[in-house]
Amino acid sequence: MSAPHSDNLPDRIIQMHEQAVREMVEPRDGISPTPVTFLLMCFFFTAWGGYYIADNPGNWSGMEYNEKPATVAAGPSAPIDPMVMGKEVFGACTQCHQGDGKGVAGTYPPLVASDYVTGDERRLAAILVNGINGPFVVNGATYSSEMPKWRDYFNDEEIAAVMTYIRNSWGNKAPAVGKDTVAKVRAELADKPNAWTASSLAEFSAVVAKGETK
Amino acid sequence: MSNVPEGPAESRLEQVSRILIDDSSRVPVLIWFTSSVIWLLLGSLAAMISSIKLHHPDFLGGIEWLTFGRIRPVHLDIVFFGWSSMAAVGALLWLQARLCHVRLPWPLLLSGLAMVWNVGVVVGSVAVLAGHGSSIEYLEFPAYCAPFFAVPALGVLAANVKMYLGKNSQHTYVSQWYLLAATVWLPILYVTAMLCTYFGLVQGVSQAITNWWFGHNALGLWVTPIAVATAYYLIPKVTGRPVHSYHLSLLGFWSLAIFYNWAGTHHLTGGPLPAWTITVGVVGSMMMFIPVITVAINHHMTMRGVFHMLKTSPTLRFTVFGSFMYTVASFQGSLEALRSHQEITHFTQYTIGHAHLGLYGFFSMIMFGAMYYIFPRITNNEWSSARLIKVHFWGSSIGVLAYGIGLCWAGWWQGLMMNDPSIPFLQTVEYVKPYLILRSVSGAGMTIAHIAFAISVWRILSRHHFVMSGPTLFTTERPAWREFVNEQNKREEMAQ
Repeated sequence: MSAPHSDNLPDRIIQMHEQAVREMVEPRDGISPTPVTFLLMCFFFTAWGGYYIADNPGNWSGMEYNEKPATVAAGPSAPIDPMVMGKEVFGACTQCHQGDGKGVAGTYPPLVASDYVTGDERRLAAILVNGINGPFVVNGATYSSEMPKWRDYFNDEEIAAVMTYIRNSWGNKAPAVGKDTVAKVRAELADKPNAWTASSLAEFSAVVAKGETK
Repeated sequence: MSNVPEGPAESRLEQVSRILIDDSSRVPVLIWFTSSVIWLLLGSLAAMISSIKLHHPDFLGGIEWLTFGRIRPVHLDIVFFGWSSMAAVGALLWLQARLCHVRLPWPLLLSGLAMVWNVGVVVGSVAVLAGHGSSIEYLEFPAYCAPFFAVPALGVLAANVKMYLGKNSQHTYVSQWYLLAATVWLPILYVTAMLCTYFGLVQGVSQAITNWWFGHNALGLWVTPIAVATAYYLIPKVTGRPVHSYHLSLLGFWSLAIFYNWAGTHHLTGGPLPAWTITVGVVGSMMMFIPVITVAINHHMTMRGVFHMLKTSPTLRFTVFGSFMYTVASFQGSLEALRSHQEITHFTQYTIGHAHLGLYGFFSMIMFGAMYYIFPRITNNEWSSARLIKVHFWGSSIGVLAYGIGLCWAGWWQGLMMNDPSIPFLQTVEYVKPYLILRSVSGAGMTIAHIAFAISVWRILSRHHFVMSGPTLFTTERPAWREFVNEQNKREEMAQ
């Protein structure tokens, strides 16, 4: 180290900058060889990458969203079990009515042991098509939530399937619903897009009942 | 502690030139660094508010400006643009000037650009809080903030290129590749992403692809290379040992440059994208094992035999912790990209745990290490208290580990529960709640650490605590390893 109080300019600068002077040398590169196991690993990852791309190319198509597109078999497809299709559609309902169909006490009405579900199928179809705004009474309890309309999201077959599913799950027992029933209700409601209220729904099902007794 | 310089003998000229170089970068680096520390505090505040809201939704619920949908993006953008990017630029300017052996060009311009960048973060944050933000993650700031970031990014690029072209060093050190590449990549990423998402250059799904191409690359091709470059400089610098293998560095840099760019689409797995784009993203993510392993080998082998220095040196302890977390978080991230893994963890707390292990455990810890090294050199002052540094280290490291491990664990089980249709959604929310409280507690630990750090920075900037008694280390006795390393270096130099 330089002598104290030196007149030499570099010495004086260095004395004032202890932080920069006490450092180790600037970093240097070592030349150790690349480990062979590491190179083998690189080959492994490259090979895996090639395999994965070849295995999941989604036909290299901008329109294919499934990495392994299913090949469509020729000939007519087997009829779809409405309980299977209904369960899939029911996914849209679980947020409010829950997976077990019990709803949320005080907020969303239950589907289990409810006359709205197992009763008149046309009234149920009407609720699904147009939605309904509370307050209304289910099994003695009042609910004031709102149910959206589903007419724009599901076709007749899907609505019929989910109706069949909720009428025959969790202990419910009621006849299956055909898609013609839904189609008829949908056609009747073509010019009535408003959500039901308890009173307008009662009016509708009274008219339906009268029509049937005629 | 004596003032006698330790380490291998250097010529007087080298020492003086280093002092002059540090002197040239003083003002800009101080401004970029100090701003970033202020943003770190504000980012922590936004983080705490968002985190508490997740388990106490009514907390500050009446204030429109602090609703979750606004304060959470503000947290993200402040820590990304404010803290991470500004800390990264500070480290970058200081490092590049040293490595090129040139004085930092245009110090006034670069200081001004820091202020422009600051204005951008302020304007953007206020706009998002006022409800003018967008839903494009990492780009929530409105479009009129773009020039505040694009112009400084180009200025930093120009300074960086100027330093490199005028360099006085023969050899290009590995850190310099990363620093140059990062400054080239940032403007490309940012300008392209803004044009595509805000100005309608592409439409629909392609906007989402661009969004995540930017979101992922902003981490991987901007802040990651700078943190890796910093660790590549600091670890051999503090230990006095050469970096293990030049060939591995080379392989690591180019594999990062080639593969990272593809990885972004793994954020959109299961979305309405052409399947091949996600397939390619998954492969790009898995190939990241290669650059990560090269860095892991290089840093570990450089440290081999001198791990006891972690007891003493704050810089080294932060940096090596960060470097270790780089390996951990990257391995986790590569596996997370796989479709089979995403089916469980996508849209769960797992992703958030991973993000913090990466940006905090890896990047921020290395930046802390860098600041502990750089601040004394550009202020000619010493850190006032080893105790504050200890609070910082333990608060940050325990905080981020509890946060990351807790949320990844919770997210994994949350994902399995959400995939089981017989489990009602509310039950998964109830399950996660204790972990969300853990998240706030560990976040508070990190916030305390940041306050300790900010106090240290305040004291080193204000000259009241001026000390001239040697470096502030965790242990105060004269370390025996210094002699050992000096001995080693002398022997190596003799051999050469």
